[in-house]
Amino acid sequence: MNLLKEEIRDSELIEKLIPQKAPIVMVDKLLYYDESKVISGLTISNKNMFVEKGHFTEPGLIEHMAQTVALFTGYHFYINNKKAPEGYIGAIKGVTIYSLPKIEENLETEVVILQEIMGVTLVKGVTRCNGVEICSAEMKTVLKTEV
Amino acid sequence: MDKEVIIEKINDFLIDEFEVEAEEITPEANLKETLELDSLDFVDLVVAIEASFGVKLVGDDFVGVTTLQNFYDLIEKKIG
Repeated sequence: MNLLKEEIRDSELIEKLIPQKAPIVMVDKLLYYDESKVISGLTISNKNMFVEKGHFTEPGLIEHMAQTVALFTGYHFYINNKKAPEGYIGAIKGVTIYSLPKIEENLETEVVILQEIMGVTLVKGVTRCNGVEICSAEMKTVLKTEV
Repeated sequence: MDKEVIIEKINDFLIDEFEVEAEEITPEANLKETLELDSLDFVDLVVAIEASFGVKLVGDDFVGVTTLQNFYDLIEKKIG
């Protein structure tokens, strides 16, 4: 069940939910959130640093998926009145990229949380463009521990 | 489930999925140092345990678990 009262499309609020800052912000919408799943969105701008020759490139797709995980964690912290934690991509496997989206196209990425333990989150993500799957991967992200 | 079966299943996926050398698998082996399981591997370990034994581990379960024997005991207790 979607725990969002409404989709979040305000870029300023989105930037509060994740630790990344412009120009490395690769999510601009939070469309769905529950305890084990999140769906983010991104409209590819021609100013996006991962755009080359009119296409959003592979590193951008991976970063977009990783930031979707960050959005999941960040929103969880936000609703608990805490600041979004920093994190890293720890590992990626099973990456399949079928096609690269173009400028102005809209991405939707669904990430399912498979496991969370000791600050490590294991997720499976699927990115769709115009409803067509263009990328899938399994990813481990790691929260930065405060020293 | 018999403890020997638990140990055999755990050892099997340590060898198959975590590429641990069979000769390194002893009850005294340290999970992190001898078997070289890092924090990223632990999440896979939790997934493998859930798939094999149907029990879910959380971070606190690993408190005090340093050797493979400790880990066997933990799983036996969780299944118990």
